[in-house]
Amino acid sequence: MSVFEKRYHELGYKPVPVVLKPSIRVNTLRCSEPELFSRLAAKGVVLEKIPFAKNGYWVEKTPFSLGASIEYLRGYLTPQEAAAQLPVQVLDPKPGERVLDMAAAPGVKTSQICQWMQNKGELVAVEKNNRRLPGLKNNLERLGVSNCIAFNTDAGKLVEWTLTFDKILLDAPCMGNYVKEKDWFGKHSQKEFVRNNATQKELISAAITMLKPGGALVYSTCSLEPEEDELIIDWAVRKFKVRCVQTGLTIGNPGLTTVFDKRLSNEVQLCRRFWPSKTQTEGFFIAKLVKA
Amino acid sequence: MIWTFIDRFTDEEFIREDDAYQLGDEWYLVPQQLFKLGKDLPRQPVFVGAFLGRKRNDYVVPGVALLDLLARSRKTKKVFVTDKAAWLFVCKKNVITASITKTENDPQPGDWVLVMLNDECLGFGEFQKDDVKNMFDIGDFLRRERPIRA
Repeated sequence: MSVFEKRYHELGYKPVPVVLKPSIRVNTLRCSEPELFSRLAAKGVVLEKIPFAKNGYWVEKTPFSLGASIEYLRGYLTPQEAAAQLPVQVLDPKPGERVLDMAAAPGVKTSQICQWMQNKGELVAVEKNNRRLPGLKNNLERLGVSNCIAFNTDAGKLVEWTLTFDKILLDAPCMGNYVKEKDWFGKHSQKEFVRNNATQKELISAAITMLKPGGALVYSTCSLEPEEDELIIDWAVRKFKVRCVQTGLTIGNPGLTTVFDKRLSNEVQLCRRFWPSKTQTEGFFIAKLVKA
Repeated sequence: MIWTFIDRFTDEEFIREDDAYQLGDEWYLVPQQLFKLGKDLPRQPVFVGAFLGRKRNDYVVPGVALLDLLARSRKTKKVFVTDKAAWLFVCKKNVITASITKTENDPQPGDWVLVMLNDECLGFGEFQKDDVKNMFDIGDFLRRERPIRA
């Protein structure tokens, strides 16, 4: 048993293999849900609504690759894992707001923010890694985004720009989880979350600084390691004038408030933790913070 | 350069020059609010507003936003194609005349035309006697994302 599996056991979870159902998000900037649904049905594609994701569908059956279809090329849909559709839903960006996406590539959540904003208002998107920019730009173009300004810079340094935001998405860089990657347990070490933890604290600290009073920050990862999840939120609510609030999600477990004998703030239970075999999604963690 | 490209399709002015913004080799249609925000920031963006197109060698590769704007112009020359021809077109093939179900604005050999599947623009090409020569199609999204092996 790997060190990670032992850790999950200690946290009360037995990791079992999960086969993810392919899923898509309908891009309502380019096409309505009923229109796409009937169009794909006519081609033999069977979709099933994901009950907890606003524009999400599981692909039950398809005679061809949806990722190489005219519907994909025209930007009517985009492949997006079911759990990965939720951070933007929790953020709930509105038309006219100023929103920040702190780790934007490959742009799937970025375009989802613009979809929720109906392309009205301002979305500032930031990506540090310039090798990921072509993918980001392609998705923004394909998915019909028109209210986004994107920069190739370190999101942690944005505080120097003295901008403030109504809402911020920090889908933080993390070590991923065993559902996303073959032989994940054999490939990763605990050093990674120690290193990531420092970056995540730097980013969440910058995010809170840039948030307007009363503004909302959604912090998410696809990691199951508490050092990248609950411990970050516990640190933030103790250090800054922010409070953890309900996500509005019906899926997932409450955030852990006891982690390896360490007692965390009660507020942390308002976060949602996605243990893969319980949610039938990839591993995920979502927290919503509001600035005082 | 982008204006010369647009002029090949229509003389209708549907983009004001003031609303277009050139960023290196790329052009964007930028809402005023976003333009003002960008001007106040200390760094050059890599993407802003709606992507209109980019310069590739000596020609323009149009963005989907520009193709859709051109498709809305009443003066743009268009050919409408069958489902099968549409799929072949996005796979970089030319459109043979037999696959054209309808034309708009009387295209002549040498004209640039939009290639349409119903009301959806799939790209553009040069209208010729026996076919429409593919000059750009939206299958480019897949081709440009293909990893390059060293």
